[in-house]
Amino acid sequence: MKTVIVLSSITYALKAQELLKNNGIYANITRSKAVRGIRGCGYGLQFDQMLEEKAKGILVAAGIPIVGSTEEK
Amino acid sequence: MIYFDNAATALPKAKSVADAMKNALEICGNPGRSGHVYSMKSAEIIYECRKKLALMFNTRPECVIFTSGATESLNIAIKGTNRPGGVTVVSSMEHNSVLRPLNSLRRLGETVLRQFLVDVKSDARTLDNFSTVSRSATSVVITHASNVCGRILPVRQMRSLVDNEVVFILDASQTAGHIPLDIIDLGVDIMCIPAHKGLCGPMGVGALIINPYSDIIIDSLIEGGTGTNSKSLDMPEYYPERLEAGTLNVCGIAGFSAALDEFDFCQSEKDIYSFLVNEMDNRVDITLHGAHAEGSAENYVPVILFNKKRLDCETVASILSEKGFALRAGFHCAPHAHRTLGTFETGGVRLSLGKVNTLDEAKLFLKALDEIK
Repeated sequence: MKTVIVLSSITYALKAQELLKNNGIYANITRSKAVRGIRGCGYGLQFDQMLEEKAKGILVAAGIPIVGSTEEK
Repeated sequence: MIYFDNAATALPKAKSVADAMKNALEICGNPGRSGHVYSMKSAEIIYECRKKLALMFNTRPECVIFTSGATESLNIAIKGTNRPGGVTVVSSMEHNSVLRPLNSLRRLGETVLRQFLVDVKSDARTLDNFSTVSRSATSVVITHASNVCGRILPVRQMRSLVDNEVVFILDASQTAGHIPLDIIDLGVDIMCIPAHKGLCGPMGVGALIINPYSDIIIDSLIEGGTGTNSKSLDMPEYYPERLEAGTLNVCGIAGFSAALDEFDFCQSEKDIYSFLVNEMDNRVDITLHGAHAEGSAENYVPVILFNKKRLDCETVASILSEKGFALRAGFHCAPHAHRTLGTFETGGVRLSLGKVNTLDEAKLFLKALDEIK
């Protein structure tokens, strides 16, 4: 399973992706149905569900607003 | 033609700027709208430029708002932060990109304007004058350096003289790219810059830089699509998209990004400026306005205003153009600055140096100037 964290904009999605990568978490930017379910059109970061808590901690510590999160296969 | 009008726009631009713009025109989709490769490539180019500017001015990428230029940035900053009943302080050297939006607010009764006199020979007197009018100010909007005579204002000291609650907006059109700018160190809330002057990027692009420690709220002037949360009729809460409605000038921003890759501060500008001021100040038929041989180049960006005795400024500029020198004459969209400098009736000829100007070009200019009778 993958976690999808939804960000408020493409700017934050790119910033978050880079931040996670610098911390060893490789995430894909997605506009999947999972994102649409939370935000309408928007951008999310998809990565291994096992890393969800670590990823959220990194993003929150960096002040990146997380709109929501969900999971998908 | 020798180009001495860099305060209007820098010339030439690096070849990489044009290449980046052409490349963007060919491969970029609309950033922040889709997930396909064309949109994502475009978004990455935009984000890279935000990062470069954030590094340069000491802020965060999301605090870099792209605009069409410093004028739009100033309009957003001024009108987006104005609150009814406010008192706005400006200097006596402002460009119309500051004065006209404020005048518009003043005529609507949305703000009261107060102006302080800049003394080009004394920062201490300028600060005294600022201090006198800035009591009970709710916002300050000032130019960092005059586009007419190049004098840099003591912004950091001014910031320290007003409360933190006072909104401080800086027009850095003439300093960005000529002197290092750190928005946190300066202490201002917002800094407005063009891409196309000291930073040598293309025209049609600029930025509004927000201090990452400022809690200022900037209302949007233009609302529209931002590519996310489309079901909401409100602009996004967060920067930068909060202030970037519609499609960005992707080609321009790509060019801006390429210009930043080529950028370096240029010591020769200061040296050539000092040489010219010294030479021109010692010519009996030339009057310098706002600069003088005893002044320090550290207090100026490389802009010189002058007149030739008994000749109209436009005539001088026209003759110089025929002789192969590009300068700008007139009032430079800054009427109050000319009033401050004593040239409100005559205007003046403005010479503004760029990164590729040489000492030899300056000497040729002086020779041509001397030949005008």
